[in-house]
Amino acid sequence: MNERPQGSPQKVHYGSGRPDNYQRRPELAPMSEAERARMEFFREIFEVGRRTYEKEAGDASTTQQRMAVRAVDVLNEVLEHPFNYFRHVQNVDAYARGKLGLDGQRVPIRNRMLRMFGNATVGAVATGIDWLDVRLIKTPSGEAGGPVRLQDRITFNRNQPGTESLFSYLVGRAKNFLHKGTPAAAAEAPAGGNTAAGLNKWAGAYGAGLEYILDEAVSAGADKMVQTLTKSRAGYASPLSHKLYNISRLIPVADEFLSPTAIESAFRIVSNYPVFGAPVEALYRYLNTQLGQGTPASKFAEGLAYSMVRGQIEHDKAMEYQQRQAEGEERGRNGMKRAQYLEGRLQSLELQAKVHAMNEADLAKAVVTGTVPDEMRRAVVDLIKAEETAKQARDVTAANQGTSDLSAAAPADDPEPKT
Amino acid sequence: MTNPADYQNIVTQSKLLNEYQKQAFLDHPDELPLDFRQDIINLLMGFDERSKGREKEYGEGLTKVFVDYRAKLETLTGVSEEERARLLKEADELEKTIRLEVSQQ
Repeated sequence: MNERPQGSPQKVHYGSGRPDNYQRRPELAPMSEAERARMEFFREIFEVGRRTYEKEAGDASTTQQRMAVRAVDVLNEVLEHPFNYFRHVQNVDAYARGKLGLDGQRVPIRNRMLRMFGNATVGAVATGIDWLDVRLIKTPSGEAGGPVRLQDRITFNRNQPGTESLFSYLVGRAKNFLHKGTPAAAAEAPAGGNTAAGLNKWAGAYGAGLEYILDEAVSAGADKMVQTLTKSRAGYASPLSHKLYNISRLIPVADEFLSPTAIESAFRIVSNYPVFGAPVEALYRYLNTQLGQGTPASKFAEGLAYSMVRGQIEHDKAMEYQQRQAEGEERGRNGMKRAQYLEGRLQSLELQAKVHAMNEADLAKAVVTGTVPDEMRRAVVDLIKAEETAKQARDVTAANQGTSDLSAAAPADDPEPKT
Repeated sequence: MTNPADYQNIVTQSKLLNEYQKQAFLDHPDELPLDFRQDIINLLMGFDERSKGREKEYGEGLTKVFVDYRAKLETLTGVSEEERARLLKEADELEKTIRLEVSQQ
């Protein structure tokens, strides 16, 4: 308690004075060990909560700031570029995919260029393997024939030139033995398992089947690669791609560069296009859902059947080609006969011309001298021989008149020479 | 990447936003750009995940404090058994209360 002297005011500054009723706090009793442990315990509980709250509050503040900054960015973008066509296209694309998608959700596509690059790479590798199969496995140098496919080489396909090898020869012999039944018949048959027409009935089918297996192996490799990269069970080629590939097997030339992987990559690239790819993706999903039925074995058998049909088509083409080749050879033989005939006629005409040239001078000389020159006599003998040769040639031509187009019109062109 | 169709659910269940912010974010969300919604989803989900981690850390810290306190009470000398039992019971009730409050948040 402060004593205030009489007659003088007390000056009390803020924070330094004490009120009149100030009483000193009584001394606290010393804390026991249990009390100290209890207070320490409460303080630690508070510290744990304080640290957690500080982290929570700091994180919340930072996140709110980021959200605010992002919102301001969007606002600025809209204000500066009210006609952001790229964003409009993206929104239309997402809207179209959401409307057309089976899940009914709007799914924006991101990293379009990366997706396109990846799909194009996979498709290019698959097509490149097909191209290597067709283009780079050729016959040895100096041997007749153009590019020969791997499956033709190992399946004794004699339809393709230059495919003869020891393996195909042995397999063809064994196949002939099985087909003909006797070694003698097998020895008479042409090597390579071909029939009497020179073609193997099933070689085209075997080749097409092996090409199908090659393409399926490429597809399985792509599936494995995608599964490894994405760490999921989903493969690459879809049922729709396999179906289109099977149909393409019936189209010549298309099977040389198409595979399920290539078709799938084309689908994915087209589906990646903004807006335009949305209906393609919807159709792709719908057809895949419809075609997703069936076991892998049944799908493989279906594809193999398509390939075998394709092989039969190739076989028919080869048969037609060989038939045309035989007709061409026959036409060539007739042409040679016609050429021989024309050559004989030409010789006779030359002799006739020579005789005509000599006639006037030599005949006058013979009349005056009463003797025939030796040269004139030899010319007449040669003329008689040439006429006989030409007559024989005409007889041969008349015999072949029914089968030769060129010889049919030959005799009427040249009238008989008059000597 | 989360589907933007889940934007409404994520905003509604967010621990970061208050009611006013939730109403603001859910006012015609279709008019917001897709990438903006995606960024908001990422921010909210990231905060929720980190918050769960902090809750787990807080629970582990509490467990350590209570274990240490009980061990200290067991080894403390000069304390009657009645006092020791009273402090242990008080610690149990306090832990039970704190755990219940944390679980209700």
